Amino acid sequence: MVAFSKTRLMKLGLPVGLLVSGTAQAGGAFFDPDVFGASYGGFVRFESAVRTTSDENPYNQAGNPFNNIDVQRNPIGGTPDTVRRLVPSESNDFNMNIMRGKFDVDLRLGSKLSFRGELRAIFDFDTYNNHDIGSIPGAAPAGDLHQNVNYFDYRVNGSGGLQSRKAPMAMEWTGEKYMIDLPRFYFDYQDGALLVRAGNQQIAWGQSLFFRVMDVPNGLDLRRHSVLDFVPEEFSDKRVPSPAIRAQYMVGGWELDGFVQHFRPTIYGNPDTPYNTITSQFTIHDMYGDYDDKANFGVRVRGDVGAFTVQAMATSRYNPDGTFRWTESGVSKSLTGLPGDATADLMATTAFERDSTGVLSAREWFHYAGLARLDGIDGLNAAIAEFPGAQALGAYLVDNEFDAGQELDLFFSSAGGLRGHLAREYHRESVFGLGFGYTFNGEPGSFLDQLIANVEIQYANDRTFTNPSLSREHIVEDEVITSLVLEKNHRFSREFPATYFVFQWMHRTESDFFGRHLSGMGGTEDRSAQNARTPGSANYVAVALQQPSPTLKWRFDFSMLYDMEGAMLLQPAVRWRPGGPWGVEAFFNHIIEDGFTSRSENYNALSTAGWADEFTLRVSYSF
Amino acid sequence: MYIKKYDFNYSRRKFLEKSLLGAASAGVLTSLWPMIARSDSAVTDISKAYPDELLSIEMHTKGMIKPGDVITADNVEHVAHLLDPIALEQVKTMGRRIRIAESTRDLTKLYPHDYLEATLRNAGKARFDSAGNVRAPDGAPWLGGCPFPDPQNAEEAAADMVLAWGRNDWQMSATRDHDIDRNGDIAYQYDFVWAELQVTSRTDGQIFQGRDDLLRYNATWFTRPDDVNGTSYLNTWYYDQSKFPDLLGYLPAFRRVRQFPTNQRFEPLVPGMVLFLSDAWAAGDPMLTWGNYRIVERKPMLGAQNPGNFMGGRDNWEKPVHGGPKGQTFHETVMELCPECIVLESEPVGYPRAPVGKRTAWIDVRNQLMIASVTTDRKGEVWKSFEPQYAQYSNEHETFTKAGKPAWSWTGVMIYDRLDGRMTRYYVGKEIQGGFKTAFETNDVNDVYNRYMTSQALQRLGG
Repeated sequence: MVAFSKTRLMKLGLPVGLLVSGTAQAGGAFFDPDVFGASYGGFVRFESAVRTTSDENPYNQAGNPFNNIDVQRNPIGGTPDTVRRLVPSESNDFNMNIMRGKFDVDLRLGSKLSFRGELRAIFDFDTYNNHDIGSIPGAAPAGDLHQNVNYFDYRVNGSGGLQSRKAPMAMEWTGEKYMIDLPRFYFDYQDGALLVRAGNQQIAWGQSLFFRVMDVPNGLDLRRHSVLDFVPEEFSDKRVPSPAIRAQYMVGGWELDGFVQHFRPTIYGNPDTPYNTITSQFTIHDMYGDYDDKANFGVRVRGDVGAFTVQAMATSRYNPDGTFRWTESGVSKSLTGLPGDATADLMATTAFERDSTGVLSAREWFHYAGLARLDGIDGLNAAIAEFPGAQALGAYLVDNEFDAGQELDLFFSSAGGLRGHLAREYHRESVFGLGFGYTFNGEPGSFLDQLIANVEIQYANDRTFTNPSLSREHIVEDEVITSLVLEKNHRFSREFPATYFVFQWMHRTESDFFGRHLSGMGGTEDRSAQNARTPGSANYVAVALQQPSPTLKWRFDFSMLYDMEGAMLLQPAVRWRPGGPWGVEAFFNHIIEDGFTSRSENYNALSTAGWADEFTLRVSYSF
Repeated sequence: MYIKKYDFNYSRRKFLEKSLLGAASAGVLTSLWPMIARSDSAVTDISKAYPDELLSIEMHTKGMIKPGDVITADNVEHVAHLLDPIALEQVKTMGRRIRIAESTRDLTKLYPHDYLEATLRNAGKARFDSAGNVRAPDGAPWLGGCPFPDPQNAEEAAADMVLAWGRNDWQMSATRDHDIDRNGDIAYQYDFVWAELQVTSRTDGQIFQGRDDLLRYNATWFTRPDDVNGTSYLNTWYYDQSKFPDLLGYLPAFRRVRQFPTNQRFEPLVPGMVLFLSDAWAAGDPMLTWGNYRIVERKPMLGAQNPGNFMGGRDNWEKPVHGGPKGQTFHETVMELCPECIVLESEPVGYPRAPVGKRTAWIDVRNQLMIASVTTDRKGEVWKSFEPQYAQYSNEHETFTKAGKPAWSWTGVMIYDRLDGRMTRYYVGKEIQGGFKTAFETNDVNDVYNRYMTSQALQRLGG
């Protein structure tokens, strides 16, 4: 950070100050030319993620394992039927090559008022090989995001229809290859024990790391590097900033904390971008436009009771993850595309759109139902039962995988490919949390020496989950999420600084790590989730350690997340601070999808990113 | 002239005698502190307690060195016995130079005004309880000021340093740090604030917010460079010196305040810095987590206790630098002959894997402050030095006040790792990045507590 001289900045400060003082002059405590000062800083950083396996992202068109292979569909009238998906597969060396810039400015406007702004700018070099929609026979999917690969636009339905509205109510400016936003843009007003922060901001609560038990105010922005970034940075680059007013008040050693916040949802990677996790045969109708006037509220209290640290919170929020359900496609393309086929208007009332970038076989249907933690049979039935148009086309309900396969292949054979249309909606929920912390003071050098233990419990009342059938009848259940966090420094030698350890365990009663309902787990090409023995709860163990070199010039990190359904994420990392303005981080993500149990990888959460083994290098220059 | 009455080696013999006795009062010709305590004069002059050979560098060196001289490799042999081993090595081999000034005889120039008043007001009232903590006569936490201005043993000397680190009830030091590598280049540069708020042992005799179980709040937050900007820590020190402080931290990566373990006290705060938490004031850890305190010697020393170490008039009070491979390794320091220093040794008995084997601190008995500290590693090899510069904040250019009187505090520190050849040097500036300004007084203690010493404050400072 660099300080502006007072005189140089008066040119900037006076207008800002006049603006502030003109709007709020209470007690003369706001803008004060004698106090005014400013400083700025930031960095530019190149980030590159190099693939270390030949696996491609299966959720993208170019990574679909059914591309360019012969797939046997169920015979029609006894005639064998073979289909080949005509989307070219791609082989990528890189998942990501971006240049990132960050610019911070701090303004001191008065003895009680300050301003902090952070501008984040990212440009993607577009080195990720993708499909060319124009070269795929029969491909003309609806929706801008499916016609042009777009790294950064967050598009929702608007008056212009599907994906017509960009980034509503957000302090961001995006294009296909760039994004600029203001993750921090707020005023702080401190008067005695009261701190009020107003503006675009992230709010993070809780002691757990990566396990979001108390950390409920913000959704996550999974554009850029999804959840596969440098683990020691947790979600600092991911929490979706939101315009909010947050007030904190200290009284008698207790911290009272409350916020009112504009609701902004979790932002998933766009279709066919490197870290996309929503299968590209779906078209999403994001209905956030119906919710962009909603607000979240929350309060928290934290303090000490004897030797224990206690915190409790209550929030009323829209779950930022949202839910998905079948919705009318609104795409008037006939089922077969043949001359004389008059089903176009009827098709528009179904959840499907004929397109060669959709699903082409029952095998592909069930394969992706498993990947997406959906139920292949119920999913088909919901798409029929809840859409009279589908029934009018002759679709019928089924009881088992075989019948479903027969019916699906009949329609796929007729259409040559069907895309599914889903609506993303949001639901208010009440979330309560309780946390306890205790610091052990054992014998010097012992395991219990300065061991900090924290237990955090979240209770969500009437949480709404995506039904694995994608029915509009969502699953509504109470959910309890519990975490245990143990952390300590332990010095193993006199030569090296202490090693920092974190051990965490998380238990979830209804959903997996990514919030998907557990009843959708375990589906495969041959078996729908309803016939899999879905787990009754989800359990995760995380271990992280940091070992600095004696001068802290180097720091070696190792992080492990174990999904007790049999998958593991490993991230060894090194951070180098050679001095001066340069900084380097390098880390390797390795995901073991199914190495620990005999069960399908679709029982665990981590296999969703199982293809993403990669080495990431970040080189930054600070100013 | 006292030297007419006492020969030149009288003081040396006297110090040897006191060292052998173990318990002894400061002063050679008479006991220093009873004399000061009896004084009803506004001027607290120590001249009567020491012979001229201990108050005049010229007489001490038999004319070889005099005030205004500069100690270099060419003349350091005359004061070699007055420097700690690492400072001596720096002058001999690394081009360090030390300016010499007259010894300060007026105690008011060696203390914050209110701290000296409290020291005199409460003299003789301190005692240790059975747990080893300093108590007032009624068993309450210490009343304020130096509890043992005339320490009779090693524990009392140690307690003097730990109970009121900076001697000010509130101080916020806007600190600019440079970390020099073996080649003499500036490898890292940081701006940070070091702030202390006494809860007990306050010069005003109050207990802040009634928390008699606490000693102080100590907050540190970094404002430069960008990759550490916002990193903030709050240590809450318990009065019980066997307990580790509580540590809250705001790390920009976490975007929130979290509790952290606090036993990692023997490693740098940030990359490249030689300073350990344990090093601060030669009393950076709770006193009872160290042990084997012993006074091994009493002797005169050269120490940077001179007003010349205040850089009033210079831009941001920046200290000139010199020496080392690139001419920028050392602060320009002004030292004076400190007539009597306690040489205190201690060991980190509560840290079985600490890299430090022993700490030796040279404590000026005039104000019971460490003027130099040297640690050895576990093999017994001399490892690191911690050398502070203190001054009354007043010179011919500028006077920086506290309650209308010249402030007194540390002005800079040099910490040198001689085994690795790295130097951390930082100075107290007027202001650093982020607009934080050095201050020693406040009209509202609750205000500075709210602004800097709470979890909420960390959230605001961190961003």
